[in-house]
Amino acid sequence: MMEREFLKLDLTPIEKRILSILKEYGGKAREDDVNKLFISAVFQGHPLTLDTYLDTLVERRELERDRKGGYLRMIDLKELDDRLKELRKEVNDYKKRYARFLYGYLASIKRRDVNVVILKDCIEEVASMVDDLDRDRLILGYGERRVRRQILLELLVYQLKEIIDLTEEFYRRFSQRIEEIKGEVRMVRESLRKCEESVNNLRLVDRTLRIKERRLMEEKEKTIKELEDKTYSREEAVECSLSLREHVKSFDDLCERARECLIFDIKMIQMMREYEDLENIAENIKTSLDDVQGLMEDLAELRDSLEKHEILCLKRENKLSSLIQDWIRRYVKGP
Amino acid sequence: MEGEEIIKLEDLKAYLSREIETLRVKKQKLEHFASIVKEIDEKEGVFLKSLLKLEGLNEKMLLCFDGSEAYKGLQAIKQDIEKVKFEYRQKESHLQGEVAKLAFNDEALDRYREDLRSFLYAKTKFVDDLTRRQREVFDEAMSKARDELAIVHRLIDALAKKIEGASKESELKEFLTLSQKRIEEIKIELPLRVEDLEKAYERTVESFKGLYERARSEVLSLKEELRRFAVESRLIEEDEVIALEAIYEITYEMKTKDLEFNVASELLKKKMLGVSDEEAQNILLSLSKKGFLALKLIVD
Repeated sequence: MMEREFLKLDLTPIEKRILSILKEYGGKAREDDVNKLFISAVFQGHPLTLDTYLDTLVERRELERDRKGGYLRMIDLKELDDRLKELRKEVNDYKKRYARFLYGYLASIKRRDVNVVILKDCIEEVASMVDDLDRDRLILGYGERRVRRQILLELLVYQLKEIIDLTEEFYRRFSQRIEEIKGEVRMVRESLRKCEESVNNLRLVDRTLRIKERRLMEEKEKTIKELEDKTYSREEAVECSLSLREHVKSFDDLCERARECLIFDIKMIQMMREYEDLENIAENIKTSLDDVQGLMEDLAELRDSLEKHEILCLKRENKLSSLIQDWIRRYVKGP
Repeated sequence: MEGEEIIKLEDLKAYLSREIETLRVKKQKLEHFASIVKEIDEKEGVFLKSLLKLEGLNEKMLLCFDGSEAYKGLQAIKQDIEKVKFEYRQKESHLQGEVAKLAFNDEALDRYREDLRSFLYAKTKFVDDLTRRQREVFDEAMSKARDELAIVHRLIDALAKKIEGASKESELKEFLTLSQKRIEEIKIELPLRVEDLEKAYERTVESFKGLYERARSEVLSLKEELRRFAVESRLIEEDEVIALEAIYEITYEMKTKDLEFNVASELLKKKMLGVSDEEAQNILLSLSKKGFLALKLIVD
């Protein structure tokens, strides 16, 4: 971005004449009326029109062209100020909205080139440009340069909006996926709790049993939390994006491909890798828990059948068999 | 519980599997013990049920046959029942003493199983023998009663055929009808089969007391009355009616209806003491003439 250096482009005589005609018409005139004030010529079989000059003037924010109504209208400073106000409001909204946003580290990787865009930095930069322009527009004789800077600002805000839209889309998919994983993890955690409770109710040992895998999950969640709170410098982001280059492809819904270029949010990809690890841990735990659950059911059933076994519970009427059964019962129950 | 222990799910699985295996082995052992106890219990149940049935029936029979010849046989069975009961109680007390001081072990259990198996087998067999003896006593006694009832019944039938034109015909007819009815009542009242005695639930035990002898004496008195009435009505002479009853008795004993004249005469002589050959033959001829007997002449 050029700073304090300007390339001055003069208006062509036709552009100047269009503007002076419009001034005479009080700033607004029908396009046909303006056209009639120029000599029609034919070049290589096609009639020459004012379209090229009008488009340039529109591009330079000198006038507005209402093609439907066929009107041309000169833009005055007040309108430019209003537009600038709108830009400021939009950028300020972004600033507020993304002040606590934890993501927005976009990387675009080509074969040999890596670009990193940090959303918060971009917003700050554009906001600062809005402030500068707002201050400089009041300098006398600054009009033409101000228009060019405002055009540039509009373009940048537009680009910023594109970046935000892309980030938001990534974030939507990312959130959806991690909510699914979080849901699974919650269920597994609850199953672990129930399993611990059931195991301890079985009183297999005289100590309270805690399942080790619960800690594994907790440690992974801690890593995720640390990563979530982390902020990246530009250098870190570049380094990270390069290390993720190969892994990104497996997260199809969290990256975009534009020609040869792969675009993704570095932090979301890193987080997603951790979340997938967490998901794997949870799935492994779930499989083992199912096995444990089955075994506990078998054990409970066996214990129950032993507790209710006829040798221990059945009362026999006949005396000899009853004596033998009592003798066995005393041995089975133990001292 | 004291403290905490961290355990991996894999270790927990292995631990639970071991625990399950231990319990399975324990359960198998319990199943084995249960099958032994069940076997003893079933055999003991069969023995006690047979003994109880035998004893209950014997009590009823003792009441029923009170004062009869069968009573003595039943009393002997009662003594044997008491003996079996005493031996069973003795076995119980001996076993109780042994298991109280002996720690459980598989060998001892096998030994007890064999001992109880042979004890219960022997006692059940003895009870079965007593049951057979009891039935024999019953059947023998009841066979006599059945024969006596049949004789009276036959006598009534024979007299009924001859009352037409007899003096006091209507009186005799009414008497025979009443006698017939009474015979039927006695048949119902007197349990003629062991099963009837067993199943007589609606009757109190006391109602059996002296039943057999009472019924027999009633039959005898009925027979006496029949004799008297028949003689008074001149249907038959006294010695003829006595001979006719004797002939009926002989045919029931010999389970035949056909007798050679000489054999019948000889048997009649034995039944009617003090009767000569000629008198016996004359009675038979007279009974034949009056239509109470049929004498056949068979030419070879």
